[in-house]
Amino acid sequence: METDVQNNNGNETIAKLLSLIQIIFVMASLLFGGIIVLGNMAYTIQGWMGVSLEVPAFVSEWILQSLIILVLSFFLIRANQGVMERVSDAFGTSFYLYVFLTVVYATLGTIGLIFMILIVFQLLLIFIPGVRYYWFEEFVEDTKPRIKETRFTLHLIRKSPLVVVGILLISFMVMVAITAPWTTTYAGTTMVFDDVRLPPGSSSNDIKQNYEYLFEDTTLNPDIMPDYYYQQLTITQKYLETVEIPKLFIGVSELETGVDVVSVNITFRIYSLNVTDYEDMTVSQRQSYLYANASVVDESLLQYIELPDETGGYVWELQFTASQKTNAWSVNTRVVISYFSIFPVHIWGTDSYGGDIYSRIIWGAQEDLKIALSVVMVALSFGAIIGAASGYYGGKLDELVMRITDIFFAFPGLVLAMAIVMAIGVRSLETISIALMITWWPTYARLVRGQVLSEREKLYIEAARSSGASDSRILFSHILPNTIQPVIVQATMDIGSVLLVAAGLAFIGFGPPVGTAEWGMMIARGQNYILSAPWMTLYPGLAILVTALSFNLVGDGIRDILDPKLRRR
Amino acid sequence: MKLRDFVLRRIILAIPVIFGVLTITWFLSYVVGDPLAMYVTERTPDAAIPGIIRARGLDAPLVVQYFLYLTALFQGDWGVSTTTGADQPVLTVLARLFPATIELSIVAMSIAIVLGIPLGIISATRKDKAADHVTRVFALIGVSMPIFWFGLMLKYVLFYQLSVWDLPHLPGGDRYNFRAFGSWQPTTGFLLIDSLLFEHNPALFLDAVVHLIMPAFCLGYITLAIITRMMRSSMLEVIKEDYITLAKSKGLSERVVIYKHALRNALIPTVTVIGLAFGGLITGAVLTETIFNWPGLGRWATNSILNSDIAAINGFTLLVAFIFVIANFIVDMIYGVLDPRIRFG
Repeated sequence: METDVQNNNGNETIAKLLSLIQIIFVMASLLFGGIIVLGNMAYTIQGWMGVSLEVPAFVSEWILQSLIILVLSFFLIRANQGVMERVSDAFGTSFYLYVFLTVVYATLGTIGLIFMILIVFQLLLIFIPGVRYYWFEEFVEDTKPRIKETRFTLHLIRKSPLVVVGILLISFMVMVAITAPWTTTYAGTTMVFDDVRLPPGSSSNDIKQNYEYLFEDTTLNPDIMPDYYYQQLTITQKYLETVEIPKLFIGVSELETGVDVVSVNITFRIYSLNVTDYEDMTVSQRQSYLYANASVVDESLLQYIELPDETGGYVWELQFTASQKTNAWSVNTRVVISYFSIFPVHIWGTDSYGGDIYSRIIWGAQEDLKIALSVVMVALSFGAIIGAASGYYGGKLDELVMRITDIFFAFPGLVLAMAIVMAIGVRSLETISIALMITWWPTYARLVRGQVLSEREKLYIEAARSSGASDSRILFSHILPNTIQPVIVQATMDIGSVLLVAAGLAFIGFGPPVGTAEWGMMIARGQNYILSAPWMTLYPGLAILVTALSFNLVGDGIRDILDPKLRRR
Repeated sequence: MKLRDFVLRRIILAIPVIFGVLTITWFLSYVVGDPLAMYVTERTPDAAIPGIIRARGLDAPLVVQYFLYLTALFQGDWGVSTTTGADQPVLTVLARLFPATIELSIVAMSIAIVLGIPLGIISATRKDKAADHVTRVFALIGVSMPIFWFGLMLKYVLFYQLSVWDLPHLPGGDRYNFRAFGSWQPTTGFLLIDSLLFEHNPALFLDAVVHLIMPAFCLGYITLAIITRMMRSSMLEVIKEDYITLAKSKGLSERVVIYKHALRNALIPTVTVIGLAFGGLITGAVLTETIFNWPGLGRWATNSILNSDIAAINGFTLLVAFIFVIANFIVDMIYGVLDPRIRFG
């Protein structure tokens, strides 16, 4: 009994200590992540501001990755709280998670920062006149044969119809994803509840209410008394698309006159006049053109006025008259016109929540391509570094890495990803991406290792070594460039397969609960209505098929082109 | 190296992999996830939870927990699944559902092999002709097609559209027609075997076959594509070898050269791919079974995901990983037998 108590006391101290360490780790990792994100953003914004810095594509990739990890860590911490509440003794269980997270942050952060510093440094060098890159001449001389080789490859690519088709399809899909804001007719998450499961090409059953803010202010000028506003309001066909009449809402509330005791008369009027006529007339002349008016004293004016169902020019006028001059007063004022318009046609029909399939597919292109590209990029860079190190240094490191990849290869990709998402316990596209990154890196580690192994013993490496080049120089500037081709082929084809697996995971139900436009989830939404509304399933599936096919076409074709056995001049 | 030594070496190499698999599942469910969720269901009374924590050693240090987890696994205690209605031990559910999935996978694999190898040969022997292009695109579509979408489309056309047109159509899901045949007593669990050998019911057998066609083809298409591609490329490589030229110059007919000399050697890499694809088939079964309402492991796994049933997912992951390891092991064996050079490598 006594020992039990002692043990408990000991446990408690350790628990306190460990939770302190946990907190430190979390803070440190958040700080690191924050630095990366802010640094990247600052750099990108600098580019937008027109300082004419070219922002390379991978900069925004780093932002994306850092963001994903930041968001996920918050969720992980939240999930961990659940564990702590239920099993108060299990203080150690998530400790390793924080260690892992911090390592990830530190790696990403360091790489990101190094990239940033290098880019800034090189850009500075370019802008200083008279400074040439010290390696420039050497670089040109070095790359001549490589450029020649690349030209030949490009020539072969142009000659291969399947690859050309694939490249065109990929560019098309990327264009679709980029131009989504301009080509879609609905937002990705819009649900029009009257339009459930409409067949392709049908017009909407519902009408859309729009608001246009004509005037919005909270402070009034105390020097002008009465304070006075007017504005032209033209009723065009846009406001009269439906049978519903447009309405003008006027809201004046929260009147504050400070310490002074004043009474304020608020008057709102609409005249059937053009603004030029209005300005030419006196107050009494205007009275005959008055369409509607409303006024209160010392109260909130909250009212709407129905506008006539015909086109024409109007002037609205808002007037504040105080009983005496005051120094400070404020009031919350809004003039809003509300009108109804017809929803755009549903080109490819709607789903069971009244979402527009066409728009959702285009928004989904963004989501899906983002997942596929980020997964392959992260898995590729991580796997390539591990694989290159393992192949180059060999020995125990190699043995260890290969055993670890063996274990990863013992799981089929989808099942391991499922288990990881399940363990993380957060249903979102980011979780799917993270799970797929963890699942995919061993492929590249193996591939790069094999390439490095076969390249390591070649004569030119021996030559470089005997001329005194360092290990890292041999690895990065001699071996890796020569092993990159099969890796690129693999990566291209993997983008297609990652797309399929990600869509499969989303289909099973690992996506976010509602709303998000993602192809796999769209198919999942459609599967229960496959008999009555096949378009819900057909179009997103075709989108996946075309995208995956285009990457596979390119990868397959390039593999044939780069194959030295088939490459004859 | 003798064959026996080779086998032994492979077995020894497989042991760390299996331990790694166990460690990863343990890591995922105990360190990243909530370990208690494995043993606690909604029906567990709150008062029982501290007892479970104590009994399962969830308050022990991590190392001890790890060994407790391993011991429990080896004793056949894989946690409790809530997905099938009542709380059931995961191992029981796995054993009950396993045959349905395996039956589906074997039929799918047979379809893939029977169609894939000839297609690959045709494609290789008619390189850059129309037949080759058609086969390549067919295979490329196979690897680019989301299997769940393909299944739904098959179901729409072959089940729904045909029935709308009053044509004979395939059933849209399930393992057999429950209304016509009622329940059956699983002996081996394989309906195709049981219906003939134990139930003596040829009508049930036929019904099961008809129900198998669509899911099996849907599941087999990806594997079919992979086999076709592998067969084509390995055949292309073999055809260039000197001994093929020799065989041709001896005056042997094209047919004999391709099917007697080239095919055997070209099959070696294809066998590897077939073995690896078997694991992939079980993955694909997760999606296919969901669509065709097939009462196997995959549908169960999907349902348990929706129920956040961690024990079930853990058990499923472990089982699939074991199958994968065993499949790889068998592939290695076949490879060693087919190609003696591997054994000495």
